Amino acid sequence: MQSQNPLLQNTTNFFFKLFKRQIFIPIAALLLLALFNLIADPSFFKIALGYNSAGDPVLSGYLITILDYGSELAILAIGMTLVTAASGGQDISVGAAIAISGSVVLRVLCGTNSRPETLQAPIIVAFLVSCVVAMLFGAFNGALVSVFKIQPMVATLILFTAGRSIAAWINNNELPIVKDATFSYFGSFIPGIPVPTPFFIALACIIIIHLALRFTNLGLYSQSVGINDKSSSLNGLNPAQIKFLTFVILGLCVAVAGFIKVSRLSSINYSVIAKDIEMDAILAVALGGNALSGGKFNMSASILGAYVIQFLTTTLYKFDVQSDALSAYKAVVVIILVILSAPIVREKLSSLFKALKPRQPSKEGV
Amino acid sequence: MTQMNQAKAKGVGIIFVTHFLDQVYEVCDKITVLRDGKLVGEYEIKNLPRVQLVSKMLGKDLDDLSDIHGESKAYVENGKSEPVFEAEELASDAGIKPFDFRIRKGEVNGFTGLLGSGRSECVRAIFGADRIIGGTVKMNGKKVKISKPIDAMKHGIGYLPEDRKRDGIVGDLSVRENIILALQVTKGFFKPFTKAEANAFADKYIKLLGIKTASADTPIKSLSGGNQQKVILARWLLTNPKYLILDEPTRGIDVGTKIDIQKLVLKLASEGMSITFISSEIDEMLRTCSRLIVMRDCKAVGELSGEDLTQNMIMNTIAGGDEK
Repeated sequence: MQSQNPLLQNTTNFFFKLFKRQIFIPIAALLLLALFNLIADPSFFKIALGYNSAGDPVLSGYLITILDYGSELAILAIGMTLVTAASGGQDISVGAAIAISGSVVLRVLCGTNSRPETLQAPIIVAFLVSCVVAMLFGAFNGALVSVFKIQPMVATLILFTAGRSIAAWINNNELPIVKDATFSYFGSFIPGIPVPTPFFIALACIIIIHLALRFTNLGLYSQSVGINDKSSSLNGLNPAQIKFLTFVILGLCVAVAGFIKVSRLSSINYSVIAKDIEMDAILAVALGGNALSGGKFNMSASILGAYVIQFLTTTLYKFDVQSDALSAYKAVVVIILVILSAPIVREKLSSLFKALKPRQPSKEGV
Repeated sequence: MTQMNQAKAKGVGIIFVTHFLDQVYEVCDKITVLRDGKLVGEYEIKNLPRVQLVSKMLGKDLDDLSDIHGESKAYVENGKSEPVFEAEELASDAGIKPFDFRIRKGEVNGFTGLLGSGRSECVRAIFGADRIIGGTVKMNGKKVKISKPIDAMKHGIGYLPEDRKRDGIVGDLSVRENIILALQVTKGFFKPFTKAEANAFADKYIKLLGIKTASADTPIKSLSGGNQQKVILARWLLTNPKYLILDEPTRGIDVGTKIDIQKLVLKLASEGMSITFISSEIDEMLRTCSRLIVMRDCKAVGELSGEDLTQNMIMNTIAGGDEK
């Protein structure tokens, strides 16, 4: 049987291949959201160049908001992807850990006085100190998971519960305010550059992680350990060490995201800062088509997933959904994702695509 | 097995699909042989001796295997080569009694004994896979410390584990990644192979061992058992070991691959690699090993070589006949 329509065959082949690719999932979700907004209100895509109160040029619009706030999420998604891959579980303490590292930044910048007129330490020092602290907390989680073999979600529940109190304790429960303008650039705009700074920070993180995956065996090792830690250890790997390492890397991501968060406010609100962000970060990993049970991952898909989640959040805000109702809508996305990624459904879908794919003419005749 | 025979006696028709020839002869009346997706033929079991059955399954005779065997044995016996690996009073926390062990260059040795006799624990101790609690180890006459698998790998020891699914394959990773894994880990965290290098390694061994896979990108878990085992074998051959431990490399795989693996073992030994070959099927070990260590109750109870290497002697030693 010859196929009559080569064009049809090519397009279905193309979609078949794309469907097989993991990155198909976030791309499809992105297109779906974009299409929805295009029909509902095309002004969603409008980007305006205006001037902020300091008289510097800034871009504004929903897409810019997505780029801005999606960037924190993308940074967290990097670490969350690695933790998920190696440990087969998720860190639910990232929101609380952001509160801690943000609190550390402010503490170092303000010193003992919570409302100083001038900075008490260079910004870079504050950032580095917060990195060390966040990595230590990451190491704490990592040790619980890798040495004591506690389920990641259970292990990180400790910090999830205690984190915000620790954050408040670091600043004696005061709310420090940083008046330095330079500090606010990291969470908003650098004068003269109309694109939000968090995007550049995320870009740097994305480049660094891709270099790390390219020039080290971080990817191979964490996937191998996540898939089969017995085999991995018989191949000379130390699964505990690798799981530990991924948690420390996530700690570093937390520090960067926390730095952006406090820079946005030039202050902190211990109970609200980065609230529920862990769920968005986990969702980004899932939306990237990565199995939450660990193993193989696709970093680019996770990062794209993070921006798609922010796209969804921003869309919901635009349609005046109350912030406490947001999670209900996201739950719908989670349900769809979880069902779609269930092996039984994937099998069905892929056989459906195979059936759609026109049969190749057999070479042997029969 | 008895249940199947009972069912048979009651008149139930049974279609039995298996790798295990013993079971075929125990239960079946008729056998249908398939090879490469084609029907070879249907035979009455009682008219078909085992050797003929195997050659029907393979489409070739077994003779060439015994030829290679003669050569490799000659190599070891003439050479009296130097020991590659020596262990004294080696003990791990897996419950085996401290044991002495040595293997010479180009020698194929085996551990035999019933299931649970401690043969796997012995080789795991050699590789540092269990926690080592005592003993000294020498490689090429020099004292070395092996406490984890990576130490053993750095000294040129490879280990194909008994349970392929649990300890061998990394299921979701591709055939290529599974092949390069051990060498990559030995090389180090900051020195990943380039894509081209990894591809070259994978293609070389897929061709060399005749691994049947759609591509090097295919996840290893979608391969057949025999081909998975070949991938694990390729993984260790790639590290170019001086001493290769194969724990049940022929378990649960098709007869053709079993023969391929035994041939490969003898070929590697003739090229100077020391190999420990463990199998539950005694005739496989008789065919490949020039020296057998017999284990019972986590203890080495005998060592057989040369003239003593017969099925009867092994059975006797396992059963403890010499102690009466």
